[in-house]
Amino acid sequence: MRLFLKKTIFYFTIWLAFSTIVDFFVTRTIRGSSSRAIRVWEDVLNSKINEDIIILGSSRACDHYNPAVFDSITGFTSYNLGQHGKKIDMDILRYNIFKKYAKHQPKIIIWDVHGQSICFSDGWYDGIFTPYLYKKEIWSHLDSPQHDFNIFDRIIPLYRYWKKPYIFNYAFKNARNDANPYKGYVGEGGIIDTTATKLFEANDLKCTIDSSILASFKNTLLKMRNDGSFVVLVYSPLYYKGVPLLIGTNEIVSTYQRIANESGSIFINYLQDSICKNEQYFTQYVHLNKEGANVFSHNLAKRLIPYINQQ
Amino acid sequence: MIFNSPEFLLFLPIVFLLYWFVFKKSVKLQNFFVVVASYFFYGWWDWRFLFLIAITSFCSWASGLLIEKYRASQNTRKAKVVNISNIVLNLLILGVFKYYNFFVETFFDIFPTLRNDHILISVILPVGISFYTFQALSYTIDVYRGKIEPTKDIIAFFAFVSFFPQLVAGPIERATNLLPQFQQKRTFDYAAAVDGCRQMLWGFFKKMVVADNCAVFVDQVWDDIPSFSGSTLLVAAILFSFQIYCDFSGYSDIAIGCAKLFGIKLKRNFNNPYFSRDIAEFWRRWHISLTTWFRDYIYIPLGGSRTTKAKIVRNTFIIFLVSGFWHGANWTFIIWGAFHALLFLPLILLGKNRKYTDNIASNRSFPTFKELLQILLTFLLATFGWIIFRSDDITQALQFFKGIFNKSIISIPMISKCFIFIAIMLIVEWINRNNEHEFQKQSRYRVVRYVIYYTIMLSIVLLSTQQETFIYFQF
Repeated sequence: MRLFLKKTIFYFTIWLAFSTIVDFFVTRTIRGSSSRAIRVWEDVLNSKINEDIIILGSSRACDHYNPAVFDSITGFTSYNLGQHGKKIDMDILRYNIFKKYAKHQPKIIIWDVHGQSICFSDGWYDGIFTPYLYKKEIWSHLDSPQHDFNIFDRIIPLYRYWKKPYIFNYAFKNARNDANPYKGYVGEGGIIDTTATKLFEANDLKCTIDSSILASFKNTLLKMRNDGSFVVLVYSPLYYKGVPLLIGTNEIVSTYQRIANESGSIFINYLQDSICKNEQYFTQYVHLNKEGANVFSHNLAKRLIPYINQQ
Repeated sequence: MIFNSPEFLLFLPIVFLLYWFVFKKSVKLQNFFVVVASYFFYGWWDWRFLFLIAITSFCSWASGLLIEKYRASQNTRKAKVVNISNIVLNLLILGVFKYYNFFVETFFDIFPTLRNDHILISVILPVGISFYTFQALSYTIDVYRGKIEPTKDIIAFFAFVSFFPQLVAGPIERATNLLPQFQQKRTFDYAAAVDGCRQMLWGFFKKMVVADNCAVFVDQVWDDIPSFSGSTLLVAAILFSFQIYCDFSGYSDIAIGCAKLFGIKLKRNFNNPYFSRDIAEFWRRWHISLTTWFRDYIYIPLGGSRTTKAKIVRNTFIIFLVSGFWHGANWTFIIWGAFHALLFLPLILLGKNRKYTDNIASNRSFPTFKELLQILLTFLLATFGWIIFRSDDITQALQFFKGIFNKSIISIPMISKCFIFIAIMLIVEWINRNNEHEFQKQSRYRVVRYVIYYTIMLSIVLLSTQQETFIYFQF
């Protein structure tokens, strides 16, 4: 028995050392990936984002806002900090981490919001944080039941990669279509299939406004204003046939308007804009393709010029 | 609690240390600890399940004593009544939880005007109920047959029924093998424990690397059959064959290896079934504990194959249909059983069902061309059966077959990286086909052993998917 225990401890110790080394190399390889999701976080953590305009939001932010267009129209530099599958609570995390590492406060913050942004956040696409769990400021936000991690992910080497293949998908598989971003933007190809009868999964239509997320949202907006940024909330285009299917849109839109008024921000609603009627601009009901993103970015940038001139 | 979970990684060493260091003072104490640990393990799923396993265990234990008491007083009729009552009670419990809604729905399908949804019951299927019920039944039937003396030691009996490594998905142990091990002192065997650890490692590789990665592809295809070509459907069917094999045999390897850590020897449950040369050999190598259970407690009492041809046909169909039905309350399992019965019948009627009883190419490195063709044909037939088994209903199974057998079978299929894992698994299994398990024999060079073990552990960590449950938990 003693021999068995000694050998087990010996094997385990070697495994600990070996897995620590492997963890280091796996993490380094993932962080060196050309995929958009990884490159943006690397730019944030390496203090490479010091643009005048930053864009926050979910996958709609990722796909709809082309920094190259904003740069050319506004004369300001811009960077797209959108995150796939995230809601406002994780936008706030993104912003706080960005602020910690950025060298100066951006002049304009464009925050893309939509019908699901202020709902309960369930840790979707959390895998992207796997290589960054040792960062205290990121870990403190993830250490709650709705997220996919526990303390063992942070302290045991390689444990965080166990049964989480999606991080490898982000870093390597998805990189084929989502690689080498320009200031956080890659864009989507394709044109919407309007003959599809299934528009959304049933759960996508439901949104119960989360009061704690709403409170954090408002506090963050006030803080952004106090730090010297002008905030623009934008409900970017949605293919018009999908709009009537979203439950509670009027309530959500009026909530965003109210929050904007209370925090000294502005709210721009594109749901009735003509862009929404043109199927050539959409890759699917909730996402613009590259052509649509350029048209929308151009339109928004022009609308922001009066506010930019005040900065 | 499942084997491939962080909770089990904590549970096992704690139980192991307590078992050998704290509770080794007496066999009774050690058995009591086994019961407590096993009930904790099982209750982790749902504590309400514990009542059922306790009732099953108690009824079977008490029945054993009653049977012996009546037999001792020459009252064989009462002994028979007790035996039958225990069988009926246990099967009733199993039937209510597993089959009630199926029978009611089938009745309503036949008589739709009588439909009344109020008599359907909302019930959770207790994990492993089919396994421990059969295990407990084997005890009372063996006591009735005089094969084993009933035990007065209720703790040892409860440990026999609930022993956590094999509780939820087998192997289904016989009392003649497992119960005596709980009645005598266990001593720690270093070689067995090390061998057990190796077997567990291989089991985890099969489950978490091979089976779970196959599942990703298989689920994707089965969720949207019409979208895939015939060749891709065939690939998915083949991958499911390996998924179910590696999932189930992986679990068995983990269970058997884990038991070795506690000085308990469980029976082998799989013997390289995909190297079989015909269907009869396949069924001697697949889920051995269940097939031998059906053979000993249903097939042979019905006359087996030592009877008229008509009865052989009847007995064969009964066995395979019951085996299919055991797997679940769905017509797909019954049709699957019937499919295998039809494949098996010609062999048994021609007296060729025991043609291949040795290991293939046991004295050679490679199979002959004829043997290779036999293996491929048997595998293909088994794969067609798995299509039925995997499908949600007969309609989906027919849709799958229709999808395979059309022009699109001559097209380039979607390929999965799983074939690399399967190739590695098959090579290891082929090389070790004459051993008790695939990792029994090891290199004498320590460095080589270390490299192999750590490579496997690394692959388990980095290549696992989010799949968690074992397929056979649903049975």
